Amino acid sequence: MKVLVPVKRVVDANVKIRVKPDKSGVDLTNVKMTVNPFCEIAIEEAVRMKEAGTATEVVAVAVGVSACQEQLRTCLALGADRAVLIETDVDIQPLGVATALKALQEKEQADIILFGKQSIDGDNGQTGQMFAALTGMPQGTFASEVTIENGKAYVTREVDGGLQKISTSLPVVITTDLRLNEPRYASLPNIMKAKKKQMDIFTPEELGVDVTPTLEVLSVEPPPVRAAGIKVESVEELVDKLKNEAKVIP
Amino acid sequence: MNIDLDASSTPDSDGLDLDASVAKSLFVGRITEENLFPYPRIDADEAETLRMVANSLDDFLQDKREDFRQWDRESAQPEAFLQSLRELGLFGLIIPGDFGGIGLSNAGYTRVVEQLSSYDSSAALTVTAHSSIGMKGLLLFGTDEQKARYLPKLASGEMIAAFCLTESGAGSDAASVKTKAVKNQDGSWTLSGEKIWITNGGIGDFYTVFARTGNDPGELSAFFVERSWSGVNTGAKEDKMGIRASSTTSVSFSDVRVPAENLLGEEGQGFKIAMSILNNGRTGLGGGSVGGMKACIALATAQALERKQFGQNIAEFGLIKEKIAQMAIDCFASESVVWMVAHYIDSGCKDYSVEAAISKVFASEAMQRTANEALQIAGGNGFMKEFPYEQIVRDSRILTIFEGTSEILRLYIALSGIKEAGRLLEELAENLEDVFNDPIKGLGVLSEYAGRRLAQFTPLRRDRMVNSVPATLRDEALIYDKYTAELGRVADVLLRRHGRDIVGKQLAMRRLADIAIDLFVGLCVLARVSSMADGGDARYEQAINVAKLFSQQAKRRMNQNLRRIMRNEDEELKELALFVSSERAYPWDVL
Ligand SMILES: Cc1cc2nc3c(=O)[nH]c(=O)nc-3n(C[C@H](O)[C@H](O)[C@H](O)COP(=O)(O)OP(=O)(O)OC[C@H]3O[C@@H](n4cnc5c(N)ncnc54)[C@H](O)[C@@H]3O)c2cc1C
Repeated sequence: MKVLVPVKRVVDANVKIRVKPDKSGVDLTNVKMTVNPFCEIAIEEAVRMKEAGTATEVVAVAVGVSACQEQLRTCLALGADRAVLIETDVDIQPLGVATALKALQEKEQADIILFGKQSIDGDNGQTGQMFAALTGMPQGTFASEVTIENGKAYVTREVDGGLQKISTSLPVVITTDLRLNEPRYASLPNIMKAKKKQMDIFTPEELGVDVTPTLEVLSVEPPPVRAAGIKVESVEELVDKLKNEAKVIP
Repeated sequence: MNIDLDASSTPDSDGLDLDASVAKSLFVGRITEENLFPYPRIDADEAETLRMVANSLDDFLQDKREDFRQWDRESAQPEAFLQSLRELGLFGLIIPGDFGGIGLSNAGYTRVVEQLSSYDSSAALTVTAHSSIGMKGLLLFGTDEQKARYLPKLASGEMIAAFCLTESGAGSDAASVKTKAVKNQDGSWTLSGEKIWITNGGIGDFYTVFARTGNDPGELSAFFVERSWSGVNTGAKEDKMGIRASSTTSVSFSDVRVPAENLLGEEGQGFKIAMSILNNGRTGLGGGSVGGMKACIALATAQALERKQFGQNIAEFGLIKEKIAQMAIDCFASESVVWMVAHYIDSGCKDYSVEAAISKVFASEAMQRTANEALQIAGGNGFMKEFPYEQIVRDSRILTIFEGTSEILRLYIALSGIKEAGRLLEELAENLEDVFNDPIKGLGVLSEYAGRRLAQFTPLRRDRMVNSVPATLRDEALIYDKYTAELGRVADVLLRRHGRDIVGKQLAMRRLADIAIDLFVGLCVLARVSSMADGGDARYEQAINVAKLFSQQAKRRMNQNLRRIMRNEDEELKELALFVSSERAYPWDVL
């Protein structure tokens, strides 16, 4: 059983990001980049499937700039068997990624396609679903538990106010939630071994797909700076302000 | 500087003169340009690997900050943490792939240590005492059989290594160790004595021990001793000012039988081996210092931008700006010199001990300045245990003490340089006799010497480094040009004036060393900035600024040191010290 794990290169969660002066996007020069944390959870889940004997091969795939190879190498160090980069310099968006992945899936014929539920940069949360729609595969999104048994996938989904358990046939699209697992750290020997693992690079043209963005970003704005607070003299004044100014208590 | 998977770094010599020592040559007024320019650049492949390693370490260490604080308070480093260091592969950093390590180059190793140290000095020390010194002897001088026997266990961390040289009576004077190894009839040895303040003593299983094996004091040999052997004992963990989580203990040997095959290198070569290990390992401490400085700069800039007084961010005050700029200069300079030394080692340079000593003195002292200033910027908060500053100050205090004190290393730098200058003089004296027997040869020597002295006394030779530095840094290049000539000149003068007695002129030696430190560090900075691509951005412009600022500061210091070599109050100073010491207290009072 083959598991395909699409991963995204994103700005590290600990970086204080800066918006470019022309507001066209986030300034990425000399900024630390990592594997999107939800994608890391997906890799971890796939590697655990392989360790448990459920999966036989784990393939990490990224769509994006050449530098994504670094994140793919990290996935290889975390236990993926090989990697594929669909290399493009265009601004990648969910539909473009889903389209490119569909073309790759036709070659790979994976049984499980394990996405992160969203990426921490764009926060779109759409790629997995779009891929499912394009391929017509069943999907189990926001998974907090996944079991593969007797040719079926059992997925526990985190939904508002509780958990939903579903079962689907294979091949299946699964997107991972935060609580699915706690990813391991890449050990240094595994980072070295990852250098020897296979990495294939295709262009979208080679796969016969078009990943041109369909959405136009008009402006990226930094969040407003928090204004200084005020000091109140008494509890009464505080209650009054909370009631009448902030209107947070009735 | 390729990271090779299956072997330790393969020397590459991109135009380097592998027999030259840049720092020693400064003492004869020479700048060995080919060993400075172009500044070594890490190749893309190794850079990617190191970034991945750094990211993995970040992930691992980020959420341990609270633990590190607590382990400092409790003076503890739990076994579970050591286990995770093993699992991450941190004990195999410099061990070749064939033996289960990851075979990082010295430069790569230095960068990894930097990352570790930016989180916790004790954790970094556990790793570096193992790699930089504990098992380095085996890697450098061990036989194939010894390597096969121990390296796999050392790479996995099943065995943690420690370096056992210091004794209660033998600190800086390391050659005076009293621990003794006596050869038995069957070729084995009987080892007895006690070592103190051994890093990893309490958690180590593999000790590289230095013991006296001859009648002459200083005739030492090195041995591998396993902790499990009968007669090996370790003392209680020392209660220290800083790096409290790191294990520091005594290690004693009472009639320990050491098999013949555990002698490291040749009998009697122990002292040389110890010094080679320390020289080769210095970049570890240097990298650690750089990591600490980077952490301080992140803390201090955040603090300065957030703290408001007199209606402004304190970052806007000139006196705070001065501190932040100085931190950046110190860090950049340290990084430049440490990385250069690592490159010399990786390239197979044979004579880098003075450069290594310079990098250690400079980086460790820069780290201490930086830690102090970061604390100062934080004001009262800096003094509170709730904040990280006080621990950073405590942890960094050791840096100028162990692996050679700053004093000893300065003397070493100056003495080695003077020796180089003296070698030329001696050659001259020897060959003068030959002038009559063999005029041609004699003339050659004479004219070389004359040429050198001419170069020394002609202050500005405008052709040096002219093609290697960008136009904006020509004036700075001239500073190094001029003061290198000056160093050559005063070294020559001092040598003629004092001859062998120069060894006793410690203050003059210190000044020579400080000039050499400023020159070598400054040249590394100059080379590094010269090799940077002009991206037309602020980062490049400010790097140029750093090079200019460091050079101006260095010039002022060198000028001062030069003048004070000739005119000083050293005798009055020593007289005062003698008096105060003989009184054994401060001898005055206002009452
Ligand atoms: C936390 C810690 C960990 C250590 N880890 C190890 C380890 O793993 N392995 C190991 O072998 N050792 C270790 N050491 C020992 C360390 O290397 C020594 O402390 C160091 O070499 C200095 O020796 P000393 O303490 O005896 O000082 P001393 O040699 O007594 O020096 C005292 C002072 O006199 C100065 N001085 C000495 N000689 C001269 C001179 N000729 N001219 C001018 N000034 C001089 C020194 O610079 C210093 O300021 C460790 C020490 C500490 C504190």
